[in-house]
This record gives sequence, C-alpha cells and structure tokens, in this order.
Amino acid sequence: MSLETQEKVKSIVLNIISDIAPDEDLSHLDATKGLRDQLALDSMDFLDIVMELRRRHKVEVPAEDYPHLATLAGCVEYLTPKMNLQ
Amino acid sequence: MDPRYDAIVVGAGFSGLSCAVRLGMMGKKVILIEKHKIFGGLNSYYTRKVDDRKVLFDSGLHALTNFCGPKDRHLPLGKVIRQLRLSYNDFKLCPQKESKISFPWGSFRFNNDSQFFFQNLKNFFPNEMNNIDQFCEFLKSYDEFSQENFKAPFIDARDELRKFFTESRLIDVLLVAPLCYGSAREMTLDWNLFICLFRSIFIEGLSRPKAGIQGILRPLTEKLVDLNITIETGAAVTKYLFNSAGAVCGAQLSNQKTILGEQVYCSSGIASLSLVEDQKNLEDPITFVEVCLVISKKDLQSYIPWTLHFETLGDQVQYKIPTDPFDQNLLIWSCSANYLDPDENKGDEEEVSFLKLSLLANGNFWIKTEAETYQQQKNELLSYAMKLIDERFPGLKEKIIGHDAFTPRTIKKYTGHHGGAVYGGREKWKDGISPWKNLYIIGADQGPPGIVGSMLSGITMANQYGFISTTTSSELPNELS
Repeated sequence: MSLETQEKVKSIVLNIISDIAPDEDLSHLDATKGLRDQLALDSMDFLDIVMELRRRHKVEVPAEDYPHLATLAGCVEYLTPKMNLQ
Repeated sequence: MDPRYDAIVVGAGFSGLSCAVRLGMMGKKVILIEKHKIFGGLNSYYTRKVDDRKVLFDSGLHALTNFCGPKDRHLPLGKVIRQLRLSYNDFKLCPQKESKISFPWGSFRFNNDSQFFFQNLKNFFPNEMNNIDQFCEFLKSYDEFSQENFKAPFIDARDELRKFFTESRLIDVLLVAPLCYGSAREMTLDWNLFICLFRSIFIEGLSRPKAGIQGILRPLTEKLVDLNITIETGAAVTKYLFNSAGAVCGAQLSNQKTILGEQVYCSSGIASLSLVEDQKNLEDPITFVEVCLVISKKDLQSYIPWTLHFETLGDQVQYKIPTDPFDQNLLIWSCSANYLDPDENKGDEEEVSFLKLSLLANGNFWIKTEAETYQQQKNELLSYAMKLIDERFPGLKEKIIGHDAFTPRTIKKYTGHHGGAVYGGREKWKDGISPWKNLYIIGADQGPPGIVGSMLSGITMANQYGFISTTTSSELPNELS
C-alpha cells in the first residue's frame, strides 16, 4: 500500500475524531500511542469512530476487530486495505 | 404503502429526543412520535398569560443535576454533549448559588463545591468525621456506570449507609435529596442509584440553563431537523403491531396513521404499553404535585437566599406516598432566581423568576377524582403553599404576580406515565430489553434519573440496539401482509 493512500486513511480517521471531539488538539497526537489515553476517548466515543466509518465510508468494523483501532497507526494499517480510495 | 422506518421512537422527552438523534447519526431512517404538541415530556414548557404579559413556565425543571465544566467530558453531562455533538456553550449553564437541607433539629448548606457540604456535615456530626472521609474515599473509587454495578440487583441504600455511619440523622441528611430527585420507591432507594444521584447533586452539582428547559430542548430539536428525522406530534400510539414471529414491527397512531418500523424505542413507561395485561395490579408510583409562583427576580432574591431547599418538617425523612391528596411532611422548594449568571446585566431585574414547591402526592386520588373535587383540592394545595410562604417569608405573598400548579393528572395527560409516575416504576429494565422482541425501553423505566440520566438512557440504548445489534427482520405485520 502506498504512502499516499496511508496518508489519506490517516486524514479520514483524524477528520472523524475531530468531529467527535471538536475541542481536542490533534496536532501532537502520537500515532503509536493509544488514542483512548491521549484524547480521553471512552467506549462511547470509540463507537462513534466505528459509526462514522460505516456511515461515511461504508467500512464495517466488527466488534472483535475494535482493538485494531486502538492507535492511529493501528487504524491506518487495519483500514487501508478495507477502504476503496480510487 | 404505509411508510417504513428503521426505528420508531415513542415520546419526545429527553430520552426519546436523545435516542432519535443518535439513531439519526447512525444513518437510520427514524420517526419520533409525540402525543403532545411540544417536546420535553416531563420537563417541558408552556406559556400562560399572567397579568398582561405572557409568561413562559418550565413544567418540570427545578435544577439540572450533573453540572460540569466545558472540559469535563468524562462526566455524564460531558458525555451527553459529546455523544449528541452539541456544544457546551449551547446550554449556557448557570451554576447554583447555595442550597439547603433542613430538619427541625439542624440545617445543612451545600453548593457546587462538595467540600463545603462535607465540612458542614463534619461540624454538626463531629463523631462521624472519619466515617465521612471514608465515605468520600469510597465515592472516588466507585463507578456507578460499570456494567457490574449498574446491573446489580437491588441493594437497600439505607443498609449500606449504616455500614459507614452510626448516626441515623446523618443518614437522613444524605438520603433526602437523592430520594426526592430520583427514587421510585418509598423511604429508600437502590444503593447504586443513590450513589448516582448523590454524585449528580452534591459532587457534580446543580445548575440551570439560562433559557430554562428550552435552553436544552432547542439545540436538541435543531439536531433532529439537521438529521432529517420525521416528527409526528399530536399523535399517540394506540396499539403496537406484531409480525408473525411475535416481534413488534410497527405502531398504530391516534390519528389513524400506521407506522411500520424495524425497532421501537419506547419512553412512555413499561406500564403504559397496552401490552401489559395486568393493569389492575400495577403499583402506585411516586409522583408529585407542584405549585409554581411567578415573582420578579429582584423580589425573590431579596426574600430567598437558597437555590433549592429540602425541608423536612418531622424529625425523620418521610418519603412516602401520602394517603391524603398531598404530603405535608417533606417540602421541596426551588428558586430559579438564585443561579449565578456570568453575563447578567442589570436590565434583567424586571425579569420574572419562579418559586416552586413540590410535594409528594397520591396519584390515584388526583387521577381518579371528579372534576369538582379536583379543583377543590387544587385550591387547598394553593392555600397550603400560601400559608407556608407566609410563615417563612412574611411579605413575599404580596409580591406574587401569578401562579400555576400541576398534579399527577397533568403528568399522566402529558407523558402517558402510569399513575403520573415521575421516576418510573419500582422495577427497572436496565438492559432496555422488553418482553417483546424489537421493543426497547428507554427513559425513567430503564436508566439513570434526571434530565442528564434520561439523555444517557436514550443514547446508550440507541448505541446498544441501533448499532451493535443486527436485527434484520423485515417481515410485514400479520394484519397487514
């Protein structure tokens, strides 16, 4: 997968997070560290990320795959093959 | 062809509104049904002409519990704001000044700084000082929303408090406000519910939206419109429809419309469902009468120093359904003039405020009595309120501009709640699953109490069953196929 695609997926995820938590500063986010701790996201917010992925990008994330979304890097790795970015 | 929806939400109170908004955010086709013309359910508003001006009354709101700051997203109100994607500033919350709990033998002040309250308790009960500290430590470590605690079977809060404290008077001080603001049982309440309420009142604290209940209703309603949610007002559900598998698949409305839907989220209470066969054996619920007096803000502030006052006239708390039409032991006072408004300007002095008095009521009496006795009792209620006011605040009676009162009959009419229930039935449906497939319970019979609790109820049930669950039944109802 190309770097460009990965960047696209990253910005998709960041866009969703900024809609869910509009008052958070995302510029200092460490991609390898847990989103939950860095942004004080709880399980309800997590559901919102999954919800928006489904609604906006038609990507289904089954509950057993939620751990893949724990970090920004994890999101990119997991979601890139699932997204149709052509 | 009758219209078909992914979800039918019954009742546009705070749980129904929040539920509909969440389901709409998930991209579902949602219809919200409200039998009244105005939203809010138990916490609504109406206008009445008082003298020559139109006065806007809030029908339920005393104070909003669960106060939080703009950054407190981990607290219940913060979560609600975030889940509904509202802006904290939309609500324009004005924190309380100071409230009071009183007994003939002592009185206790509290505000939104819980340390102030705990210190007042320690001063009065010096022998309980360490126990109070231990109770505070316990509160810090306890999570009332964890699955384990939230779904635990009933535990008597009085019994649990006796494990912390030896003075029964202290236990009464701690219990009175949580009882009045959320107990569907007499004399006591569930331990987890107690902690939930205690935290929402004393630790998080009280506030009031500057615009009253409309301050919360308006941003929620705007969301509904943004999400293209269909709204049907002035129509009540007369009957639910079932498919051949016995699952709920729609509703018939009083305006003769038939609405089909995959799921139903119902906030009118489990007892209101015509599906409940044993209507006669339903318990009498906890309910209230309320007298609302319109007085200028300036006058109210000069007579009354507190925001809320939980006043017990006997030595002990008597939180019981009275045999008389209304109770005369426990007075719940609320004064809307005593909130701190950050951008208050002097011009507001002409503004009207409300002094409310709520009393436990005998719902059965108020609902079943004939029109004449009803009016007579309403008048007696008003003269009782006037007598109390005259005793406590000589001169204030002359400043009253107008008044109104509601009774359990009013509550039943506008909410559909059995017996005019304010806090739902004694038994809760904590997982929201009703005995009927595809029908979920939201609101007072499901979740935590209060306006914020109701909103959380609608949100969590929508998350749980609108998103996580995968009901795909698309059968047509028996009678219609």
